[in-house]
Amino acid sequence: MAKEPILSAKDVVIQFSLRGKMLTAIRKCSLDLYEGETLAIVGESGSGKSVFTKSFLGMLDANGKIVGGTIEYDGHDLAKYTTEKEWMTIRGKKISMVMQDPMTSLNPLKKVGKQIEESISLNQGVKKGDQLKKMAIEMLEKVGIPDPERRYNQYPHEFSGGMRQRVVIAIAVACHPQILICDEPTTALDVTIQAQILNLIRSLQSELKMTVIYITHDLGVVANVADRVAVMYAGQIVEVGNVDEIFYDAWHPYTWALLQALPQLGVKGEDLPTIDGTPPNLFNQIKGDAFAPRNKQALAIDFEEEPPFFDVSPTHKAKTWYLDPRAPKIEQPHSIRTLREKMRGRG
Amino acid sequence: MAEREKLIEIKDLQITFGSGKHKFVAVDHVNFDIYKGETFSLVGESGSGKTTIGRAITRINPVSAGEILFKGRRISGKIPKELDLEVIKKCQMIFQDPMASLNERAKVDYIVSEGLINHHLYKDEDDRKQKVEKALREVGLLPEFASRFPHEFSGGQRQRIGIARALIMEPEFVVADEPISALDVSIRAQVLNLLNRLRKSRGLTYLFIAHDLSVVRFISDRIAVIHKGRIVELAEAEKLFLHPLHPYTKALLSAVPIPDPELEKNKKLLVYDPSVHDYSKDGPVWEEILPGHFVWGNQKELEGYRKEIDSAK
Repeated sequence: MAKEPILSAKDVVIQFSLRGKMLTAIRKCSLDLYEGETLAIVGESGSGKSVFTKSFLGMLDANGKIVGGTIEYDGHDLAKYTTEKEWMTIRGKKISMVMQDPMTSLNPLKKVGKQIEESISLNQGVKKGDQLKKMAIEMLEKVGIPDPERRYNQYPHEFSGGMRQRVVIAIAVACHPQILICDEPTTALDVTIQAQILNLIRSLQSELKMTVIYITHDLGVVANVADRVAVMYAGQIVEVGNVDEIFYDAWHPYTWALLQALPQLGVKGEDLPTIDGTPPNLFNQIKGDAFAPRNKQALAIDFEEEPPFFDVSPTHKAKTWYLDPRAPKIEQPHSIRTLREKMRGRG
Repeated sequence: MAEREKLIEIKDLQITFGSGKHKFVAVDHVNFDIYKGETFSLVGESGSGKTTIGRAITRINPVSAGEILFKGRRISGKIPKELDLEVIKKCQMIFQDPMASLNERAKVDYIVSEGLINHHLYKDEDDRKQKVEKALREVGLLPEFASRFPHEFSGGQRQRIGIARALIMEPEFVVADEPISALDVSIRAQVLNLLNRLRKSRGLTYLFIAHDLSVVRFISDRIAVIHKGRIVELAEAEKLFLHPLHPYTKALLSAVPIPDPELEKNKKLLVYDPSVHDYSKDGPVWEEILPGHFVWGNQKELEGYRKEIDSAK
C-alpha cells in the first residue's frame, strides 16, 4: 500500500485513574487509516476498541488521558491536544461519531430538527434561522427520513429506533466530516433495520467521500461493511489485514477463537468451542502475550516476551510468536482453514 | 413425531392490552405446541409479541382469548391455587439482561433461593443451603459465590446466577427470553453450551426467545417466526432456513449478516411488503403445508407455496 494514511496512530498509551490506581486501557496501540476505506475494529467488551477511537476526537472520560504515543492527523498530533478549544477544531468538523444507542444519544427534550441545526451552526458557523432550517431538512432527507418537513418539528420519542438512529447519523454527518466513527451503530436494532442502516452509512460514505471506522463485535456486520479489519485484545491490536485475510487466513490465536465461537460453524447438539478464562486485569503489568493464559496451544515464549508484529502478507500482520520462523510449526485450526466451505455448505 | 408428548399447547391465543379506545391486540391467532425435551424458538423483531407469549405461559400476562395447556391441563385464566403453584415451580424464566434482572442489594444466596423461600419449598436451613450449592455447581459457579453480591460478577457469571435461580425450582419448562443478547461473543458460546447441557441432563424443555437468527438456528429444534403478533411460519430449524415460504420469513432471513465477506457482500436483501397479501375476500388460515411445516396464508398463497415446494424438489 503506497497510499498515505490520513490518520496514523503510533504506540498510543491511554491510562485511566480509578480509585487511586492506574488502569492502562490502551497499551502501545498503532493503527493507520487510509482515505475512503472502511475499517472494522472487533474485540470483546473491555478490549479498548471504544476507548482507542474516542481518543481520536478527545472524548475520553475526565479520568482518562493519552500518556504516550502520537496520533497524526492533518499535520497535527492529536495526542498533544488538551483543551476543548483545540478539540473543537476536529470533533464534529473533521472526525465525527455515531453511538450505539439512539435512545440515549439524542436529547429527549429537543426537537430533532433543532438538534441537527445545533451541529450545523456549531461547526459550520451558519447562524441564520431559515438557512439552518433548510439545511437541517436537507439532512433529514439525505438520511432517508420520509416527510422531513413534518419530522423536523418532532421529538425523539416520536421516532422508531431505526429512524432515531438515522437522526443520529444526520447529526454526525451534517458537517461532512472526513472520518466517521460508528460505535456499534446497529447493536440495539432489529436485523431488518440493521441492514437498512448499514446500507445508509455505505451510501453516505460514497456520496460524502468519508472514511469510516466501525466498532462492532458482530462478525456478520464486519463481513458486510469492512475493507480492512483490526482485531483488538486487552488494549492492543493483535491482528490487522484485509477482510478476506482475516476471515479466511487468520493467524492470531485470539482471532481463531473469535471465529470458532461463531454459531454458524457449530454442529447442532455439540458444544461450541469457547474461550476459557477471562481477559487480563489491566490494572496489572502484562507480561508476554496477553492472550497466552487463555490459549491452550500457547508457546513457552508467549508467557515471557511480548511478540512483535509479523507480516503474513504486505497488507496483513499478526502479533503472535506462531509466525516467527524459529517457532515450532503450528497449523491453522481445521475450522479456520475450511471456513469458506462451511459457510457455503449452509445454503 | 406424532408420538411425542406435548408439554405446552397454545390454542388460538389472543393477548390484548388496555381496553376500549386504547385496546391494543398484541398477540392474535397463535397456535403451536411445544414437545417435551425440545428447544422451540420464537423469532421476530422487537414489538412483535414474542416476549408477551413467553410471559403469558408463565402467567405474568393475562390471556384475553384462547387457552394455554401445560401437560394437558389448562393454565391460562382462572385456575386452582395448587395448579398455580405447580406452574410457578415447573415453568421458570431466564431473562435478557443479567445486569438488570438480579437484585443489586441481595446476596447470591438469597437471589438463588428466593423462589424456595417464597413458597417454603425447603425442609430446613441446611436443606436450603444445600440446594443453593447444588444449583450453583450445576451452572459452573463455586458455592463460595453465595455470599457475594451481583456486582462482583462478570456478565457471563451473572447470567449463570440467573440460570441457577431458575434451576433451583426444578422446572420442566424454561422460557429463555433473549438469554445471551447482552453477552459478549466468547461468553455467549459458554452460556449456549450450558443451556444445551442442562437440557440433556435435566430433561428440560425450552422456549427460546431471540432475535439473533444464527444463534437460533444453532440451538433450536423448531422455530416459529412471529410478525406483528401473528405467527406466520413454523418449521423444523433447518427446513425453515433452507426452504422459507412466507415472504416475511424470507426477508428476515435475507437480512441476517453472514460472517463470510464473499457471501455477505454479494447477498441480496429482500424487503417485506405486507401489502402483497390481499386478504379482503380470501381470508388467511394457519395451514400445515408439509408435515411439521406450518404457514399463515390464504388459499391462493398456499397454492403458490405448494408450487414452490414442488419446484424445489
